[in-house]
Amino acid sequence: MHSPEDEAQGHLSGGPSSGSERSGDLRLTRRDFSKLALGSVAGTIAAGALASVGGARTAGASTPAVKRSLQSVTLQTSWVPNPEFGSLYVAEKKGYWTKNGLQVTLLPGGPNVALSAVVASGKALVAMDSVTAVAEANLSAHSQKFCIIGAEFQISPYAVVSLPTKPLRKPADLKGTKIGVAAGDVTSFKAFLKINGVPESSVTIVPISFTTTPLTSGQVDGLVVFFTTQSVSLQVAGHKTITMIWADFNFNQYQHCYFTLTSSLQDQKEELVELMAGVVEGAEFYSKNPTATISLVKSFYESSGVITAKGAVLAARKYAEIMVSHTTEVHGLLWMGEARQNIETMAAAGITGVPSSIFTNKILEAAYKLK
Amino acid sequence: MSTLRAAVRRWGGTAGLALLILLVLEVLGEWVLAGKGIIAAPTHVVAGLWDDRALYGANVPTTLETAAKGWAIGNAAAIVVAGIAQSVARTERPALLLGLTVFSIPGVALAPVLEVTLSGDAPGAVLAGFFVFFPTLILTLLGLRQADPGALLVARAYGAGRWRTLTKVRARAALPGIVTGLSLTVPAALVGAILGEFIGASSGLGVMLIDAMYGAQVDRVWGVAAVTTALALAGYYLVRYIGRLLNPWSPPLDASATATALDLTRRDSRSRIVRSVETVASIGLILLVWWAAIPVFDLSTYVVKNPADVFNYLFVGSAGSVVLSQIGITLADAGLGFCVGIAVGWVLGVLFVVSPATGRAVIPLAFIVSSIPAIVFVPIVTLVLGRGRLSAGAIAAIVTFFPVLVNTMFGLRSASGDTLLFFRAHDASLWQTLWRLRLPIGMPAMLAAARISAPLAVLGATLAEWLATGRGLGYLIVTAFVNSNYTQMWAAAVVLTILSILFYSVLSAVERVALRRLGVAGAGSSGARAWRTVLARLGARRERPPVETAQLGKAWLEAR
Repeated sequence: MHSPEDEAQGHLSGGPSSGSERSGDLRLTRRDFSKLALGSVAGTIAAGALASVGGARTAGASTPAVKRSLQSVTLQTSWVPNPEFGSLYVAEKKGYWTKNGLQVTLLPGGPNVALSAVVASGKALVAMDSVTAVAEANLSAHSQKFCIIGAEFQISPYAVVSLPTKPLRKPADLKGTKIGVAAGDVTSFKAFLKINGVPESSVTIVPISFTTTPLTSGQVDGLVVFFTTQSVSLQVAGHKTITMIWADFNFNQYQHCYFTLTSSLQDQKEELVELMAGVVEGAEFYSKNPTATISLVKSFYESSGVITAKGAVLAARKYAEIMVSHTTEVHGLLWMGEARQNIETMAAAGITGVPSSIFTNKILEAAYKLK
Repeated sequence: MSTLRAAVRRWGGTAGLALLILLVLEVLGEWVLAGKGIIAAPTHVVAGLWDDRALYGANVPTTLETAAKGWAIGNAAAIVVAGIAQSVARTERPALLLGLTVFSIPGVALAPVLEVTLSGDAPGAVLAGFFVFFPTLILTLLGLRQADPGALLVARAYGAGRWRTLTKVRARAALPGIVTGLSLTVPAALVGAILGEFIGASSGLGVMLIDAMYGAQVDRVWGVAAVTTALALAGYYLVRYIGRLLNPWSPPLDASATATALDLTRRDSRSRIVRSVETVASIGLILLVWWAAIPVFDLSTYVVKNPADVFNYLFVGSAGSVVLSQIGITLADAGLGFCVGIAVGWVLGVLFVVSPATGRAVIPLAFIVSSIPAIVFVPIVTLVLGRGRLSAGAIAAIVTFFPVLVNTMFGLRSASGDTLLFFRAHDASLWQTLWRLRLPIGMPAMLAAARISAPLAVLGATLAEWLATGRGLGYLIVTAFVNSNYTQMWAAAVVLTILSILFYSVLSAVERVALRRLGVAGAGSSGARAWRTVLARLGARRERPPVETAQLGKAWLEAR
């Protein structure tokens, strides 16, 4: 199941002096990921066996739950279905929600999805977005309308990807370049520049949608991307790329933050706890068994056909890496222990005065007990 | 054999030109721009389509279903509203203003509202319906109005009221207009459905497009664009074919029929005061509906702002200046696009009428180009023209030129056979025929085309601002959206909508003055009007035609 892709992965990352590999190595040493990587390979083999019995277990688990009527909630994802939401797909597939009596509807997202609006209107109980986006939504609402109840990606997946013809390896390289940035990422990019002492005026920000064409066609020198997705797809499409991962340069910001209405923390606490218990369990499985997760959940996203098996496994491994941090090793996945750093990062982008109460671990605390 | 020869004559030019374009694309995609991710070589696209056939089989039906729903909703609403506007006194002006408003609201601003209010693929269907509504409304109204005066007189003589006249006479007369509306709106419905998938979907052509763009799969991006365009064309011709089966004795109005489209500020016998009151009342009605819809449909006030919120944001306090300061940029972008689009449309229109063979070859291709989703061609434009105003203008022009082209041709061609014969009999040169006959007769259609293109130019400019230049109201609206600043988003959307309507109204006024100066009152193409135009032009130059020829012309006229 995993061997051909693993070979491909080995081949790709073994390429001579690819920038992404270089920074990947840095990250490995720094965060002692080598142990983790080994663990995940071992886990993969075990998970293969687990996955095959998973279906039966799911059915078994859901039977008692059906007896008492299932509570139903809706969770809005931020993009069209893809491996990024592996934790949720695992939770659904393995019945992590139904065993607690919760029926979860996952709404697909897309480039024009209005995440905070979906939560505000009650269409979904919970949605996911960046810390910055949630803080901006609170600013626009002139109140702490939304709260973050868990951060799946502890390490920011933001990166600047460039081509070998003009490699951008460290923030100082950005001076005098043109960088393609989607509207939703401009604030974070400005924060990244500020933190690294690169004057905003020395970089030309070029608006892009979500395509990588501006880079491959040479219209920009670099693109702001997630190294978990676009970097991978560029590699899979045959482009040699250099990836500067922001987290390696003091950019501390959670991504994939599950947020809800502050009022729901009390009104719908039970549902939130059950929901997050399933998310945590799904994330635990995903972070330990990225390759197995992909074979388990590919039916969720394969209808649009673009994500190749190879690309999905590459991406899944990167997601598995960024779900884990020192904090999560102590407290458990999704735990938010770095509120201050996140708030400082936002302040660098000019979003000041965000109270640390925007993060709350209360739901997670209860969820861990339930699990 | 002769049918083959006819087919070659009819389609040979198009085929040759298409081959040439494909060849250029192949060379660009395979060699010149290889690996840049901008242009896919046609051979790769075709191979990709074949490889992905199962994928398309799974995704096309989703999008088609949404588009079909939206197409049906939008067109049904348009036809009903047109019927009401025609049969209930004083409803036409509000109906047209409503249509124009619906047409001018930027889709990006509409999406979140639909998203939080509806579920499943309903947001996409309604978005498609919005795109479809205005063209069909205009064409149906036009058709209803073009009923044969004789038949109307007969109906009235037999005591038919407005309703009976509508159902028995006008509805019949409106069929060609309705069929044109139904066919012309197929591409718009598809684009609406795809944009709906951008709000959130798990399958469909839009999702394929998102994934392919995100995944640097240029062959598949072009494949999706090709399939979308092919579906649009197939739908267009299918609807026309069905229309012909239903209504064999009268062809659809030419694609152009928007040409004679109605004028919001149409002159009528009523006084200026009555008309102004009506306009103000129409605006008031739209504001009232907007205001009332929020509590009535229980819309989320977090997302949907009411007119007072928008007014306060724009004019009370300092926040509004962010929006107001962008107006100039967007007006310049849209203005450039409008001028270029109009110029290209007019010039090509004249060229294709003077040289019909060229027109026959180029127009099908122009139709195809105009059906390609904008998000696909934007990277090509920015590569060539950069990311400044030139690009914004070019994108707005691409969105604008096609309707102008077709309407111009329609107008220029509406010179009747009689008048053309008259000119030929006078041994008039091609140039003289154009200058003295075709242009004066076609002018109403050409000016109407310009007017109708105004909202398109504004929408095209905002699209370019979002995807290419990163400034102006188009970019602001997207920034407001990603920052969940819905008050700002609504303010920008309202300003854009008002700009479109004002732009349209100003052109409307220019059009009336110009037509009065030219001595061509109102749009239309009847033979008699053409003759009047000819004679008026000749008379103005104090050149009387030789008696014999005039008599010949008169005889022709009477024989008809």
